Amino acid sequence: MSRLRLQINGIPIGKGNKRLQELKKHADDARARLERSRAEQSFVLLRLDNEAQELERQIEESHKRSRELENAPQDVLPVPSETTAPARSGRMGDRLVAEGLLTKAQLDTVIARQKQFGGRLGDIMIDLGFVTAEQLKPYLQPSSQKGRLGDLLVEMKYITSEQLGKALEFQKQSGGMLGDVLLSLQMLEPEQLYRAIATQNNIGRIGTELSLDTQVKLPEKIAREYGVVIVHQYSNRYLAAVNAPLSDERRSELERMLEMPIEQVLATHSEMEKFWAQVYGDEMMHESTSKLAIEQPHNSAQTTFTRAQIAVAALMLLFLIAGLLFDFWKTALFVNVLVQMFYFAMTVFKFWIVMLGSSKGAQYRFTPEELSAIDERELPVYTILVPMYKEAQVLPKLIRNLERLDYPKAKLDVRLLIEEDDIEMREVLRTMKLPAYYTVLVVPDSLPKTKPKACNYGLIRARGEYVVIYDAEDLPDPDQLKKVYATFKSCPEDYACIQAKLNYFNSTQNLLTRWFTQEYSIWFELLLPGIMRLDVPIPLGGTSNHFKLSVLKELNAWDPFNVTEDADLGIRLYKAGYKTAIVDSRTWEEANSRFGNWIRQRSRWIKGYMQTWLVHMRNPIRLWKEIGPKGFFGFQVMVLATPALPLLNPFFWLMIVLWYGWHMEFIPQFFPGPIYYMAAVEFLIGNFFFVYSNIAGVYWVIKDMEKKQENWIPYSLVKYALITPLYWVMMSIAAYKAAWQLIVKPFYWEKTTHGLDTTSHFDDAAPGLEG
Amino acid sequence: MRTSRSYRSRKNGGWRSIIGYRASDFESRISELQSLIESLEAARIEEDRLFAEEYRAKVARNAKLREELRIARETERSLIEGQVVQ
Repeated sequence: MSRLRLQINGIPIGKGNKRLQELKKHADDARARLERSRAEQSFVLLRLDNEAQELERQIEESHKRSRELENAPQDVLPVPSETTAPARSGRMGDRLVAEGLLTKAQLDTVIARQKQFGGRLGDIMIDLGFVTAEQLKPYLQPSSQKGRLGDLLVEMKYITSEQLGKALEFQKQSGGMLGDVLLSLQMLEPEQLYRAIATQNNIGRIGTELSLDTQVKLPEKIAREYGVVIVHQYSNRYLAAVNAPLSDERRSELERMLEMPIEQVLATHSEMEKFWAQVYGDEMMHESTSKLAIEQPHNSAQTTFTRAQIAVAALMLLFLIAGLLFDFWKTALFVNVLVQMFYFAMTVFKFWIVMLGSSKGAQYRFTPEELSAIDERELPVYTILVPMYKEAQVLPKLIRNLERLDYPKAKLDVRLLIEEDDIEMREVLRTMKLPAYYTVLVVPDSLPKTKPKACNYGLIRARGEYVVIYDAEDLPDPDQLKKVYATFKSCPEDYACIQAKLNYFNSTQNLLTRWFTQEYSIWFELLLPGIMRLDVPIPLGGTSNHFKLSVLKELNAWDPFNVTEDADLGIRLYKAGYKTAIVDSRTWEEANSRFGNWIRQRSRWIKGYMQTWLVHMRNPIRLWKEIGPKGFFGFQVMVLATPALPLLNPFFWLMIVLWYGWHMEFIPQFFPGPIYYMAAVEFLIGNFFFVYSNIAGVYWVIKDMEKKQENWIPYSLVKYALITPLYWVMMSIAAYKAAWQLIVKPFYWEKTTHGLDTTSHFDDAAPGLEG
Repeated sequence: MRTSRSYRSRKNGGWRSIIGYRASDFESRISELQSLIESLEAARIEEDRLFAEEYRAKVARNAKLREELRIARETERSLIEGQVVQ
C-alpha cells in the first residue's frame, strides 16, 4: 500500500515533484525572459520615437525660420568678413550673428532650446546644424586648464576677493567644499555657484525652463549609483542632469549602458531633488512604504495580528471563559495572581533600572573644553530630517532653532518633509528664502500617511553620514550634534544610535504640561540611561535620535505602518546586534497642554507600543533566541508594560473604590494571604516608588540645569508629583482608546497639534541656553 | 490507484503535493505548466518578430525624417546665403 501511495502512474512521487518544480522554474524563466525582452524592446522603440519627435521639431523650426527669411527685408544680414579675424569681445551668440554665421532667428532658437533643456550653446548650434564644430572653434573661450573655483567666481564677479579670502579662512577651520562654504555664508546663490562649476568643468547648466519630457529613464538603482537623471533625448545624445560632474570613466560606463553619448548638465541640489521626484517618484514611494514589509515581513506592522496570534488569543479567551464557567472564583484568583506577579516584576525591574540610570556613566557626557577641542574639519555631513504637517506657524521658530546649532552649516543637509496635501505649508515655503543647505521635499499623498513614511522618503537621498530627526517645534541644545559626534567616536563600532534627552520648554504652562514634564524627566533622565546600562532593547524617543545613516538604511529604516516607529526601530536595532547610547544633551519640545490633544497623542503612542509588541512577539522563541533572556525580559518591561499597566489599572482602582466605599464582600476573595501582602506592597511601596521617581526625575533635571546655569524648570514643579495618580487615570483613558483603534484603525496617525504653547519664554530667551 | 476522500478534500495542506495526490491532478498540473511554457515562448517569438518589423519601420521613418531635416536646413542655409549675397 505504501509503495502504491509513493507512486503515480509509475512515477515515484519524489521524482514527480522534482519534475513539477523544474517545470515551474522553466515557466518562471520563460516569463522573466519575455518581460525582459519586452522592456528592452520598448526602450529601443521609445528611443526611436523620441528621436523622431526631436527631428520633427527641428524640421518644423527650420521651415518656420525659412518662411521668416523669405518674408524678411533683404538687408538684415551682414556680409561675413573674410579678411578680419572673428571679434573677440561680446557674447558668442551675438558674435556669430554679427559675423553672419548665424541668423538672429537661429540664435533665438538656440537660446530657447538652451532654456528649455540646458547644455552649452555651441553644442546646441552644432546639433541643430547651424554651424560646424570647425566654424565654431575660433569663437570658443580657450578651455585649456581647469582653474580654481574661487578664482573663477571672482573672475565672474559673483564674489569679491575679500569674500573669497573669508570663505577660504572658514574652510581652513571647518573643512567642507568651498562652494558649500560660500553658500552657507550666503555670499552667493546656488544658481551662480553651479554656473561657475559648470564653466569650470566645461559643461552646461540645466535649462531654466526645463519640463521633463523624456520617458527614457535609467533604472533607479543605476541612476542613484551615478547620481544622474536623464532629462531629455536629443537625436544623437542624452541630456543627463548631474549634481557633480562625472569622471570620464563613469561617463563612459553610462554611455555604454545607454548605447548613446550623454551630455552632462549641472543641476543644484534642489533642482536634482525636483527631477528625482518627477522621474523616480513611484520608486521612492515604493521604497518608503513597502521596502520593510517586502524584505522583512516579520519586522513589519503591516499585518497587525497574525493568524497564529489570533488563534492563541482565541484559545486563551476560550480557556478563560471555560475556567470562569467551571469555577469562577478560582479562575479569577488565578488571573489575579498572574497580574499581581506581573505588577510586582515590573515595579522591581523599573526600580532597578532607575537605580542604574542614576549611576555615573549611564549617559555620555562631554565638557565644553572637550567639545571645543573637536577638529571641525573632521566633522561629517549631518542630515536633519524634519517631518512637518500643517505646522506653518512654527516654521520661523524651526529655522531659528536650527540656525543655533553649533555645527558648520556647510556640512548640514536639512530636509523639510512636507505632505502633498499641506497646501498652506507648501505655499509658505514657496515664498520663503531658505538657506542653501535646506531642501524641501514634498511627500506624495498616499497611505499610510505617517511620519515614518515621510522620514523614509527623506532618507532616500540624504547626504549625511549621520542622520537625526527633529520635530518642527524642537529646540535642540546648540552643541547636540557635536556631542553626538563625540559620542559616536567614543563608542565601539556597534553603537548605531545615540538618543538625546527630551524635555519640555513649556513645563509651567498648566497642570498637564507639569505632569508631562515629570514623566519625560524620569523617562529620559533615568529610565533610558538605566536601560542603556543594562543593555536591553531601548524604545527610542520620537525625535533627537541620531543614527549612522548606513545602518539605518541597512535596517530598512522606519516602519511606515507602525505609529511609534521610533520605539520599534530601537527594538530592531537591538535585534540586529546594534546598540544605543544616551547622550547628555537635551532637546526642548512643546508639551501637550490640552486634554483632547494629549489623549490623541498618548493613544497613538500606546497603540504603537501594542503594534511593536505584537510584531516582535509573533514568534516569541525566535525573539528569545535573537535578543537573549535579559533582552526578552527588558522588552516585556518596556514595551508590554507600557500599554498593559494602564489597561489593567482601572480594574484595581474600581476594587479599591468598592472596598473602601461599600466593603464589598467578594473583594477579599481575590486577595487571599500572600497575594494580599504582595498587592499591598505594590499598592503602597510601588505607588510610592512611582511618585517618588517622578520627583527624583524632575529634581535630577533641575540640579543638572543648575550646574549649567540654566533654570527653565522650577522647583515648584516637584510638588505636582504628589497628584500624579490623576495623570495615570488619563493614561488609562488613552490606553483604552488605543486598544480600540488597534482593532479598527491600526495605521491611523493621530496628529498632535503643536504651537499651543503660551509661555513663549523660549522665543526670546533661547540664547540663554547656550550659557 | 485510489486515495482517500479526506486527503483530496484538503485544500491548502501540503498533502496534495506528496501523498494522496491523484494522478490526474498531477498530470494536469504538468501539462498546464508545459502549455504555459510553450505559450510564453511562442509569445516571445511572435513579439520578437513584431518588434523587428516595427523597429525596421521606425528606423526607416527616422532616416526619412533626417533626410527631410537635411533638406530643410539646406533650404534655410541657401536662403541665408542668398540674402547675404544680395
